[in-house]
Amino acid sequence: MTTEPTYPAPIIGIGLRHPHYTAVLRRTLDAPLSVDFLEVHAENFFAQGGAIADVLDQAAQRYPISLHGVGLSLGSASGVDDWHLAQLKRLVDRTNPILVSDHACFGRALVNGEPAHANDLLPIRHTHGALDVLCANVSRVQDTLGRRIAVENISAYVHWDEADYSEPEFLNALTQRTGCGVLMDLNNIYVNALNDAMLKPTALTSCMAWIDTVRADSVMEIHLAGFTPSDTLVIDDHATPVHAPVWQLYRHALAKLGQVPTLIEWDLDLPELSVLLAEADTARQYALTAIR
Amino acid sequence: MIAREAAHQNALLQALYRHSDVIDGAVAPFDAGLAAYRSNGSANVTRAMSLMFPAVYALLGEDDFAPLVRLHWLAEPPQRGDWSQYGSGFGDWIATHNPGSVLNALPFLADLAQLDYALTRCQDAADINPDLATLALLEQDPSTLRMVLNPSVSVLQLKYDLLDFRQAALVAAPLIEPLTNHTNVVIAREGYRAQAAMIDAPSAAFVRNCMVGTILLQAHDAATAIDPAFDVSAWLSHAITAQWIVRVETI
Repeated sequence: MTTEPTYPAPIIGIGLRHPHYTAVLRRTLDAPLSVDFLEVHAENFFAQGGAIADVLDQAAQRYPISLHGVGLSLGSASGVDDWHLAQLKRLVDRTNPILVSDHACFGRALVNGEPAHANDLLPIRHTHGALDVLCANVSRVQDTLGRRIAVENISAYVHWDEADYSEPEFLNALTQRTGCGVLMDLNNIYVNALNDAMLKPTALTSCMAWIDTVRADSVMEIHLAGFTPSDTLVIDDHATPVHAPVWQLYRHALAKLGQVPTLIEWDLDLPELSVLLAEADTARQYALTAIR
Repeated sequence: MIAREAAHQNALLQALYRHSDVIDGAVAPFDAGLAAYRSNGSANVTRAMSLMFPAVYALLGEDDFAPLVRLHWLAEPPQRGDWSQYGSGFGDWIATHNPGSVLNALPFLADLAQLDYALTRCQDAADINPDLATLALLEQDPSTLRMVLNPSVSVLQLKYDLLDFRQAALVAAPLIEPLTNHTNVVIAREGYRAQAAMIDAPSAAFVRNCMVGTILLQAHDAATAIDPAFDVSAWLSHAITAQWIVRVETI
């Protein structure tokens, strides 16, 4: 007697953003959304109480939550803000998320000698010194939260002239030293390639090489999003559907990495919830195809 | 090595906030990239502040609001990686710097910003169930007691009578110029909804004192110094109904 082989099911999520709060929470009373998790930006839920905290509580009762930070400034030479980390810890304790993540970037530094925050994801150098800083901050966060976190590669519009590592090698060194995981944003990899005159002609193959270089067992989540070309640069604005080349990279990543929880990110010019769900369904179909 | 990383990071942030057009250590040309970060920062601060200051945004419209908050953002950059922690200084900054001709016609804009900010913060305050049993302590000597108020409660003193004006601005109703009328406003939540209401000066003094943990007797004295007829019983009755009081405690 033969038995059908069993495969791990795809794990596909969407971001929960303000315009969809009501639709998501109302929908779940009748029939759950066809997603496996909801991702929320941690900072959007730092409120101590009120309606916003209630939204998160309700969402966490219905769906697994992936808690994604955008302001921790893990690569900051000024260190991680105690207050910010305390708020994140409170949220982690409150939601018991399936994943906690932030970015390999900085936002905190000094402006005219005074502490300031960019509230943006600014590029760190891929040097030994920057790696020391990032490792120290990631370790502190993991120690405080009592759990492993994932660190995401960013899209960068300014590049540093000195580097000791390529970006994927830098992330490998980070995961090896701290035990953290990688949140692999395929759109960011592709946007960076398009914005690099050297890489642009072979953007897809260079992105595939990027994916192949990262230690497969370190990847904890994949992000898929859209971008918008401007006059001078391609901007990673999360305001459009996932572009065809990024879907191609997703298929490559699935072949290389196997099943990895995957998020459809859409942060600006949000469409109807059904559009996000359709994107999530596309990701699920690719993932199902990859495992059969 | 960390000092070198810090120097490069400081250089990029200096450039983002327009204190420099040079980024030490960056690959040239970086003009387009820096412009992208500056543009993103301007868009982000406009979006965040429009949510935090909805009446100011509604009154000015995007075209006047965006450059105003951008000026404030460049002058007083955020210190935390959470937009909801930004904006506390916006009202004072408007009053102090009077940035731009648009404000000459709107002398009450700083007050409106203070009111917006207080209401926004109120919405995010912790949910605390009042411990009504402790109200029995009010039978005791008020020099041994203090009252802990709900963290959503705050009091503002405004130069202008803005409550109706703010409401009209939010719903794009016809606006009547607000009158100068030194006004005390209490901000508190009803359920999840932040509300603002006029409050008399003695009650405002009483609330302010309670908010900072003043002994109940002294809080009462502060109120009666303004108006000897201040009726603490009437205040208590309203405050209990409105769930302004979390508990009474002995010192």
